[in-house]
Amino acid sequence: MATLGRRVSPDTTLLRPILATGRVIYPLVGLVVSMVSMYIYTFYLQIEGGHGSVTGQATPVGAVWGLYVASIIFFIGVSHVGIGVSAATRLLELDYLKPYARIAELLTMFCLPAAVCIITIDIGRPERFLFNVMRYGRVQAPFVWSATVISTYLFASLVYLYLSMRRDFALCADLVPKWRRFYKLLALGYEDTEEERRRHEKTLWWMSIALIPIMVSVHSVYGFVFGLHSSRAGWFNPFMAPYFVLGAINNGFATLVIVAALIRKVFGWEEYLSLRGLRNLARFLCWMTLLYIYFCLSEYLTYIYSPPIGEVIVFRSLFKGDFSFIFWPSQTVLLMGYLMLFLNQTIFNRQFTLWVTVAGASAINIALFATRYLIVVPSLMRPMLPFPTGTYTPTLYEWGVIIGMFGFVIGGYLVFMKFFPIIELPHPGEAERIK
Amino acid sequence: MKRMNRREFIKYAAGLPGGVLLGTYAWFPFTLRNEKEIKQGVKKKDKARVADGLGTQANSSNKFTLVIDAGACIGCRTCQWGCKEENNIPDVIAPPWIEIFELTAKEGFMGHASIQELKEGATTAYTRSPSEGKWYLAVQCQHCDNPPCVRVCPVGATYKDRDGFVLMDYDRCIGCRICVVACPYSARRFNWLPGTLPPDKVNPLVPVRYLGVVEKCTFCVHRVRRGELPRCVEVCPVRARHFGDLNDLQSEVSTLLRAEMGSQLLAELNTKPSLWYIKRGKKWLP
Repeated sequence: MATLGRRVSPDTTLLRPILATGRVIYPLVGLVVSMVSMYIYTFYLQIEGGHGSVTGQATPVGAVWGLYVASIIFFIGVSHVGIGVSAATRLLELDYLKPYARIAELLTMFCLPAAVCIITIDIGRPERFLFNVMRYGRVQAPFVWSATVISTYLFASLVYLYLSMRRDFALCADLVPKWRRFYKLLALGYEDTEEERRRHEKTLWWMSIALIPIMVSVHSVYGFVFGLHSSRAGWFNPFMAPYFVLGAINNGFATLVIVAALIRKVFGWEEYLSLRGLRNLARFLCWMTLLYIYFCLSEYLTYIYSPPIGEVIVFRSLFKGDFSFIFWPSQTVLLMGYLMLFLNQTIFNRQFTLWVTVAGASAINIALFATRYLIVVPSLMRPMLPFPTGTYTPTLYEWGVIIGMFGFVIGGYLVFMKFFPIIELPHPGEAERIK
Repeated sequence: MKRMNRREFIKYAAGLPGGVLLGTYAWFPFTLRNEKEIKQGVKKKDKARVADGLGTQANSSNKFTLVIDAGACIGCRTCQWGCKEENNIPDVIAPPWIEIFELTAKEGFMGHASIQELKEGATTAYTRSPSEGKWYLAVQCQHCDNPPCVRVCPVGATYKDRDGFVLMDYDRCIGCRICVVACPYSARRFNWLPGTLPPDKVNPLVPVRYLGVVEKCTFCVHRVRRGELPRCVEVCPVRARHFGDLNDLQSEVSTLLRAEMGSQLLAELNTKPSLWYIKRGKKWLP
């Protein structure tokens, strides 16, 4: 206890979910477990009967990849931003975003494994997946790049998260007597001296510099998974990597705004998660969405103006064919989401409303999920040889897998919040600076 | 417990995984090579491939090529069924490794073939053949010299062998299907469902594929390397298929390709296929 004198004893509001257990948590956990069990059940069915019995995918006519791959890109996109926000906060010294940093890091922590889980269910022989990629991996293959960057990113994020949490473990050991030994073990002898704090800051700063390029590479690789096939109209395109990175930034920031606003509302942490922080996140999201719309428009212009025949057919199916019933609504929703954010930041600047921002972010997320689907499926429906027209409708099982992984992410947050402080406990003298 | 200083911590943190890694590699040569194989001069890489169930070795002086005479082809689908029997293709793989398109005469079959909307009347579901004014285009794996599928495979499960075959190692395939996506000819099939074969019909020379791996035409590698023709060439009733070694100037395919104007499917994609189409023969019409 001798060390406690040197620490500021923080307000225990941030530890409320650890110290007390509310009644809502039990139905929530039940919901999460039932969601995740959908994933597990589909996995079981698929191992028993093959992908054909569960999914709507088909070769050579139809979608070789389907909703699974679209949601892999979605989850990777969301995970993309987490450590990015945290690293940018550190590098640019954006103190007002600091309480958001861990919420963002957790997006990486949970969405990346969720994406890996969907990859595992998508490939034909899941039991060989890890071993064969490690033993026989060819550096020329986009999937090996993706395995490399994902594992690097996940590992680096874990280390980063741990180092940034070590001080909190040490503080919790004092503040939460019931799990004292658990926190002591996790803190690994950290005592929150001036020297330790400085050293951690320095390490994290250098890690931030290393993490930002890794973050960009993670989603660029997913662009290359699609952009490198000369055989697929609508994909073969050097624009793919930046396009995917931008989409991921949109995805991630939109999700971060939603999650942070939820946590802020549920726990009443208005003074920690400042409106200014949320508002600046939304502002960045707003401009990135504008950039995304610009990217989309330039892509459509290129493919409408005087395209080769393959692109004509793919984009005809988007604009007025089989996929137009997804395409037009999703574009409208994207634009609406953008307008909600934009007007909220500009014309109605005086009365900034949080729920409009959250609704706008949700709209952007939904539109981007649909866009992912529209990137993956239409190009696959058009073989180059005159095969009969294929069709693809995602089955309920496929949706179940996606729901299961959303459940996994929500469950991850629940478990984390039960055991660890989700907002970094304020440093001495910092609480005033945040406000 | 003694407190570790930083230097020691780094030593342990790096040393332990490093030691494990080195240990793994030190053990590696002993696990993969046994004495007999070293005596026979089988290289490690080849040994893994021999395990594909083919029991044959590639000879790099060969360059196998299939020439299809689209002028003579009557679209009878005998090659499709011969292939299905020879290569243990279960019914759930549909279409089988060879697919035959019926095309209208107006469009012909050369050059850039054809996205389906452009090919009015192009179909795979014809019931009577040959018909007046129709062409029949048989498509299977083109065994490209610049194969996009081999390039993207994350585990090297599909590979270009030294004699021109593009082959599949079914034990290594993880079923990610990126090769299916990359193949412009849609020649690859995936085992979406467990296939069943009557045990008395299984060809022991061809490995039976299991759920969740990709498969495709092998040019009947198990026959060709034993000096036989591929099954589709053997069963063709109108001799529309010719198979041989392009490096042998006296072979049938070399002579044909010197005498006739051949063309390749989707040649502009720079895949350099080993399948050539010529239009020499005259179609037999009833």
